[in-house]
Order: sequence, then structure tokens, then C-alpha cells
Amino acid sequence: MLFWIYIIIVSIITWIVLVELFTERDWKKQIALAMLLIPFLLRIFQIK
Amino acid sequence: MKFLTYAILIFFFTAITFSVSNAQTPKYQQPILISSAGQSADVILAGLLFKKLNLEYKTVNLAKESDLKGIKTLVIVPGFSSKGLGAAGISREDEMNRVVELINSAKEKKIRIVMLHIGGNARRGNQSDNFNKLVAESSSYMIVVSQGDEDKFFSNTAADKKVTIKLVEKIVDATGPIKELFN
Amino acid sequence: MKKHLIIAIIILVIVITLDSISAIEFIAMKSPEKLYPENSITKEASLSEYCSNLKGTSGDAEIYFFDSGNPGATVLVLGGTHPNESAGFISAVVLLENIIPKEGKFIIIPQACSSGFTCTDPMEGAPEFFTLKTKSGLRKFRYGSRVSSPLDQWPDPLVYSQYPSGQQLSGFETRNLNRSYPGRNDGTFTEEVGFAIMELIKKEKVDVAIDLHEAAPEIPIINAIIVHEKCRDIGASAVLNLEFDNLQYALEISPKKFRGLSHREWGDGTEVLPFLMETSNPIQGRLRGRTNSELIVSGKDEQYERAVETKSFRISYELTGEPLSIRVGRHIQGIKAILDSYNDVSKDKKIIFENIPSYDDLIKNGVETYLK
Repeated sequence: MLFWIYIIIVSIITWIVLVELFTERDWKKQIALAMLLIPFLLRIFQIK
Repeated sequence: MKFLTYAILIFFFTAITFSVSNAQTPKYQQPILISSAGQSADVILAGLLFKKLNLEYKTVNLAKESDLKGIKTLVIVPGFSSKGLGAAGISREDEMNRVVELINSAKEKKIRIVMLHIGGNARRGNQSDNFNKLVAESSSYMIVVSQGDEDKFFSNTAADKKVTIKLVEKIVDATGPIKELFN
Repeated sequence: MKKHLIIAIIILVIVITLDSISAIEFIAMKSPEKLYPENSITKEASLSEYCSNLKGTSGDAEIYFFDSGNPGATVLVLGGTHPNESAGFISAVVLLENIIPKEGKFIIIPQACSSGFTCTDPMEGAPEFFTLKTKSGLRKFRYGSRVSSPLDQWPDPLVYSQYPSGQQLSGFETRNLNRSYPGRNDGTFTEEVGFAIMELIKKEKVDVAIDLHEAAPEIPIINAIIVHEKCRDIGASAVLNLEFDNLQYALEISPKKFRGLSHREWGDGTEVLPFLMETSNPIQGRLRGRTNSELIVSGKDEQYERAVETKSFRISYELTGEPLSIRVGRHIQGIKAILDSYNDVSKDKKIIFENIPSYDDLIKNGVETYLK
């Protein structure tokens, strides 16, 4: 149960990061957002 | 003259008998109490060595003054083990206090103390050396596996205290000096 | 299109590319190694036979039975409780690829924490594989995590409360098999693995159980045999006998209040005589330099050499290194010494076996010689 709650939390945060990635105008902050995306996507897809 | 000759002969033979019987009485006698200082499991290995030699001994890891009753020699096996302290359910401070009291009681009762350090390098280091130092400085005889004395910690203490130290290569080699000590 | 949108798309493409490349490596770790049991094998099973909840999961570890067919003692050997302790795993593989029991039965689990073999520990820079050149060519073995994969058990609590003692440990330890015994049938993933192993010990009436481990050279308990108090004399006798082979081991007694470990819980919860062995493994150490698969096999590290030569630390490390062959040799010789000592005291049951290399054989010929 807790596992699925955390997956949902990670998915919501990933969505927020994606929205920010496309609305942020400073490229340096966009790169920082990208660094968050890398591990989150791996966890959502249960690769790592 | 005859009387004087006989008196001298009687005195001479009495003196020889007395000195011979003294030479036959070992300085280190049985029964032996083996205890730990630091609760390393080396005390179990020590017990096996004494068992192999058919010596009269008992092993009490957490020996107190009451365990010294009837004992002629106290053998202490120093070496710190956090697992050993955990197994014995005692803190490091309480273990140190226990060993100090045991040594003091032995000295009061004029029981000789032998140090048997068989843990090698594994039973050296800050934690163990507090126990090693206490026991080494209180002993009148030391048997040490040489790997534990590479820095001459025990040899130097033995030289300072003018006590005998026997260095052996392996734990099983300690049976030699132990046998020599109690025979 | 606006500039920031173009940059966002480019960044997203890079993220997906990087994730795909790393995914290939991560997924490769999920393929188990091929092992080649000796012909004397009588049965293969898996942990789900002792805990059905493990069926179909990566915790369903393989179990290999070698029954001599003659009455005798039953011995369990566990490797891979911590998959980053390669000598434990490879020692178990050497046994299962060579052993011929003559009296009694061997049960070997080479990868007890099979989930941990599917990933590495984060922030360690650890290699995922190491290779050994054997008779059949280059064999690749996984170098895993210390604990179960977070994909199998997630999230970690802040504080792990060990079942049933309630002992509190760091939350990360919830995935450590060697803190999860006796386990429970409906517990966490790792507790289920622990439960399965306990059930195996009880159902197979195991007499002696040996858990193989490694630790960093700076850890005080290395090159050691840890025993439950009920088998301390057997352990002591084994240590003394090993001295005749010029192998020094420390003897340690399992602390009663440190719960969850194999040598404590197996001994308390079953009739088995439990032993745990440790060797010295530089790749686990904090002082190590380059962390790569060569370090796993050679055990030779410049930084540890510096530490010994400068006498900066009191550590047990040979300047010639701690190669895998020596570490496996110590484990194998330790197992033999423990079983010899057990045979000396056991009145009715013995364990007799052959075709296992000695420590000297492993040093002379290399561990690869004894792998198929």
C-alpha cells in the first residue's frame, strides 16, 4: 500500500517537474529540473 | 667430634631436602582461574589449551573476588570485543571496573597473575590496549602470541616490570610455556 | 517556437536517452548467472517452497540439495546474504560445483538475498559485474547491493523496528537480510526471505548452518568465526585447528541483545548450530581508491597499502592484497574446520564429503580452477 502511495507521490512530483521544465525560462534551472527527472523516471518505470 | 660430624651431616641433608622440595614446588600452582579482560572469546580458546594439558582450572568470563576462593593462580586473557561485551551483557566501563577489582583482590590474597594474550593483532588497538596495559602491568608472567607484540608493547612492559615474557608464534604454541609454568 | 520550449524539448530528449542507456545496464543485472552444480546434486528447489509469498519475486532464491543417501548430518551453507560480499557467494558456488557428499546432506543457497543481486548500492560507484576466467571461458558474476533491491521493498521507514524484538535500527536496515531473521510469513519482502530460510532450517532439520560474509579491512571483526553460545566449543576447536593450517581466525560470540542476525536467531529459534564467517574485502572499505571489478578479484588497493605502510591505521591488510582466491580459501578451509570439529563432538551424525579444494589448492591454482 505504502509502495503505491510513494509511486503516486513520485508521479505527481514528476508531472510538476515536467510542467516547470516547459514553463521555466532560465536554462540553468531547466537543467536542474532535468537532473531530478532522471532518477524519478527510472523509479516510476521500476528500472532502478 | 663424632657428635659434631653427625650434627653437620644432619644439617647438610636437612638443608638439601628443604631446597629440593622447594625446587619441586612450582611458583605457579593449581587450581587455576581463567578470566577475560574485555570479554573477547579468546578466553574460550585459552580454556581449550588448559584442557589439552589436563591442568586443574575453571573458566569464569566475569570472574569476581568470590571466584578466587581456593585459587592459586589467576590467568587473565585480555582483549576487547564489542560482541563479547554484548554477549556478556556488560558495558565497557563495568568490565574495566570488574577487572580492576579482580586484580586487586588477587593481589590481596597473594594469588599470582599470569597474562595470556592470544588474540594477536586483532586484540590490539585503543579499545583492547586499555585492558592489555592493565593486565600486563599487573602480571608476574606473560605469554603472548607474537603477532600481538609487533610494536613491542608487551615486551617493553615486561622489561620495565622485570617479569618474564614468552612469545609464541601461534595460539597452540602457548601450550609449551603453560606446561612449563605449572610443572 | 519559443526558446525555452526548444530547450525543454532538447533537455527531455537528453533525459530519455540517458535513462535508456542506464536502463540497459540496470536491466542486465536482473539476469541471474548460470551455475553448474556437480553431478552429485539430488534436488533443486527455491525459497518459495518455504514461503509461498516469494513465488514469482526476485527473492525466490535457488536452493541446491546434495544428499549422499547415507545417514548423517545436514549442513546448510549460505552465500550472498550480502551480495556485495563476493567471497561468500563464490565460496558457495565453488562448493555447489564440486562437492560430493559421502555421509549426510549439504544444502547450498549461493544467493540468499537474490533480490540484492539485481542492483548495486547507491553512491558507492560500485561495478555491476566481475569476471573470472574458468574452464568454460569467461564467466560473469554480479556484484550486488548489501540489501534487497528498493524495487522489491520501498519505501524504507525512518527507523526499522526489528520483528519480533522491537530493536530499533536505521531505516535502511529493513532491507538487510542479516537483520531480518527470524522473519515472518506476511512481513516485509526481506522478512519473508528470512522466514523462508528459517522454515528451511526447521523442515530440513539442519544440524549445522554456516553464513558466509566479508567486511572492510578496517572493521574489527574480520577473519573471524562468530558463533552462537551453544556451539562455542566447536567454534573454538575449529579456530585452533585452523592454526595448524597457518590460518588465524578470531573467535567471537554472538551478542544476545543484537537481534535479527543469522547467528543469533537461527540458534535461538531452531536446533541448528549456527556459524558466521567473515573475511577481509577491500572493495567494501572506506579507504579504498579506484572501485572497479579488478578490486573485487585482486583485493589489491594502493590506499590500503599506504595505510599499512604509514601505520596510519590499525587494519588487517596484507601488502600482497586480499585476492578473491585467498578469501574463498579462508571460507572453504573454515567450513572444513567447523565440520571437522562438529564431527569430533557429534556422537550419532557425521558429515563427510570430498572433492572440495583446500586453502592451499585455492592459493596455488586460483579460485577459477574450481569453477566450471
